[in-house]
Amino acid sequence: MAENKTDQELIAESVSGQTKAFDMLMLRYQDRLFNALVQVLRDREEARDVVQEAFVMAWTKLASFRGESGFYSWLFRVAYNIAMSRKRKKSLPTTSIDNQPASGSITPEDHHPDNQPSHQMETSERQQLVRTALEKLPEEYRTVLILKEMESFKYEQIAEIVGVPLGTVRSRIHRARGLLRENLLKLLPEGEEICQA
Amino acid sequence: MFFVLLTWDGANPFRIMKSEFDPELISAYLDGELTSKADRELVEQHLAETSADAQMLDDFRQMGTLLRELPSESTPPGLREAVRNQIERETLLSHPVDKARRPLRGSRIVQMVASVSLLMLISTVGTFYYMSQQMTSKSDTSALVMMEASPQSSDIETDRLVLESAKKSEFGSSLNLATEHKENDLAVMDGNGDENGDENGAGVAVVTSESVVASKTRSMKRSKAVRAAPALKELRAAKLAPAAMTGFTEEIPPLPAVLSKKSINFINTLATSPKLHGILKPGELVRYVTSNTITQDVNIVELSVVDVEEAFGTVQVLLSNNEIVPASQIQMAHSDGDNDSSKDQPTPFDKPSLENQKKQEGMVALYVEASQEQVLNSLVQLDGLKNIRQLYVGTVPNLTDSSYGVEPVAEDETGLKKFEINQETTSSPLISAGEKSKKQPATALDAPRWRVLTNLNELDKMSLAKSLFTQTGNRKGYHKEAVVMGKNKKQSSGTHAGEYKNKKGKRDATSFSVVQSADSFSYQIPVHLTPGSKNKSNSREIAVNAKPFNGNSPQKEKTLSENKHGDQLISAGKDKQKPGKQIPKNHLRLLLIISLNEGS
Repeated sequence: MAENKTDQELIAESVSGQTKAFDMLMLRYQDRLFNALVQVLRDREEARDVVQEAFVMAWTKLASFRGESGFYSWLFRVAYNIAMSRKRKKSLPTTSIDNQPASGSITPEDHHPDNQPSHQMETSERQQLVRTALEKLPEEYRTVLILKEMESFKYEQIAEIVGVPLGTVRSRIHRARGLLRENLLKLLPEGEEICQA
Repeated sequence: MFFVLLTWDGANPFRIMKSEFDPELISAYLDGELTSKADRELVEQHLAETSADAQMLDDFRQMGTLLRELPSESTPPGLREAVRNQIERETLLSHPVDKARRPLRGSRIVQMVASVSLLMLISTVGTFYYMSQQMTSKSDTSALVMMEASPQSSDIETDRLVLESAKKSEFGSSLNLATEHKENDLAVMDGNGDENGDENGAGVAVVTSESVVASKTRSMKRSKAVRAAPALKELRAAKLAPAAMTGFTEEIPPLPAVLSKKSINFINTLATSPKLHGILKPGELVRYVTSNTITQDVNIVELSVVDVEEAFGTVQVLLSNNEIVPASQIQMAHSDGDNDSSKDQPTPFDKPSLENQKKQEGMVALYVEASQEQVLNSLVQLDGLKNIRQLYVGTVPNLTDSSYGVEPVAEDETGLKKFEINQETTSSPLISAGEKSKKQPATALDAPRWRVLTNLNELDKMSLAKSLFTQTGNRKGYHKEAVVMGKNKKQSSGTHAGEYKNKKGKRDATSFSVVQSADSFSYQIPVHLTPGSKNKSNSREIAVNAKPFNGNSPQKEKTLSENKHGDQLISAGKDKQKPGKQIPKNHLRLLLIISLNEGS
């Protein structure tokens, strides 16, 4: 059964021209890749295009995959490069924390404790807050944070994917967390802390 | 050796160590990235002493949990299908991707045989190249460049080579007009630094053609951006049938016709459409949605829709609203007398054939011939329809006139060909055999009309698939090369400036201009004869001047003259009034493809 095969086995079969094996690899990783790219790019359409292009590119370059890193991190690197290349072509403005509005539309308008039935926010609200706070991060910080927290990549892998030194990754991740914390604290209702959220 | 670290005031040295604590260690500690035990202990000690940082670590930990709890985005349907299609197409067009990666199995003997075969192949190709150099005209080289540009598809291109040669020569003169030259303007192509000196005017077209063809071929190879297209089967079949390769042609887009202000406005509107992904700029779009007065090639626009049938109905109504009527109705009108009552009715068409086409190709192809403004207005209106998700414009499909159901029968005062509706290929069931045999009045030639293309042969389908494959404005945006780029900067003099991109995708700071005054209109594009050279002696200029399109105004007669460099100039002469004779409309020939949106 193709489902039980390892990545390496599927890759080997794909390289030999078996499209079904590659199809299985796609099935295995498309959701994860798409989800991560949506978070990074903040654009479903763009993420979809990048994923499509990434898989096609992966197919053509699969022979060059040496297996030194995991297939997914290699695939993500391919996708990330495509995304950045497309972005450069389109000259999309880089998101900067400075030019973002001070508060998003989901910021509660009334922060007075008396008008809050409970400090404990609903899950959906909390997730929306986190998403908003994440989106406010400059892209280079958002990317490394997503790769770390949501994709569980090691610093070394992140450095390879993003193409920056290891020290830069460490620095960016810490800075990203600091900014996300600041954003969250701004968005949270008065008196509420992140740990309570 | 023992060091005692003292501060300036002799305070506790550990205070300094504390202040120098690298806060990034906290994140690294959280992520398990501190491999040194000493580092971990240092952080733990720091956190024990600094409650604020300890709180920060807790917050970081909690934030990580929150991020991981975010709901996942579901992958859009059809993604794998699209990838599969794209891979299949790329594999077909550029040969199997595993060609390079496939290990050469077998013994040394097999390898030797392979080596000998390779040598023989090289020798054959070399001989063929030499012979073609000796026997063919300059224009033949464009096909060779294609081979060079696309070595992986050399077998396909070799088949094309011979077939392309004759075709290219037909375009020689028109390409001269299509690639004009002006001093102090930069080259269209960088030419990889080659200095292919130009001896005569014909060389202009050759150089340009070569570069564009090579560029586009490379572009096609590089592209990973092929959308699901309808005619895979045809492509596959074509691979097995080299003779069918005549469908693969890439020509430099000829200069557009004179643009009216309305047309320019329509183009500007279209260029801002999000359905075109904002990739095409107005000056660039001009190439694809304006009439080509020189070659009268057929433009191609693809409407990617949610529902093909519904869109087809909408398109019919919309075309009718723009007074573009089914060709069959024009024939009816001229056969049976004036019968305008059916003008606003959706056209009858050969249903089984159309259904078959939709089933087989997942699309409907319409040939539209109408005035530029009518077509552009229709496109702008189509762009506004919700059912239409994406718009694509593409390279000129190399279909024969009979494929469109027309036949060139006459030329008007400006030298433009007129087309008669080809009765044999008109699929309307309303036309009887008797009517089909009747000769159409000349006025029918100018009537805006459209028809469904249901009689495409295999070659046509392949050409169409190729055109869709290389279509521009798609989300991958690989169309950028060797295409006129426009900035739509309207200067005080009314100049419409733009720029070219060279083969490497870099923009050259050159400009073409459309200068419009009260009674004249000129379109000038600079091109250097020698790729990469800006040398004055290597550049020439051809300007096309004409009266702006106006249905009631007399056309200026084209004249041929020479500028001070001895170059030929085609320019507008004095007004030549021909009272009582209707000026033929500046028709735009368009192939309108309605295809199913891959995400639908």
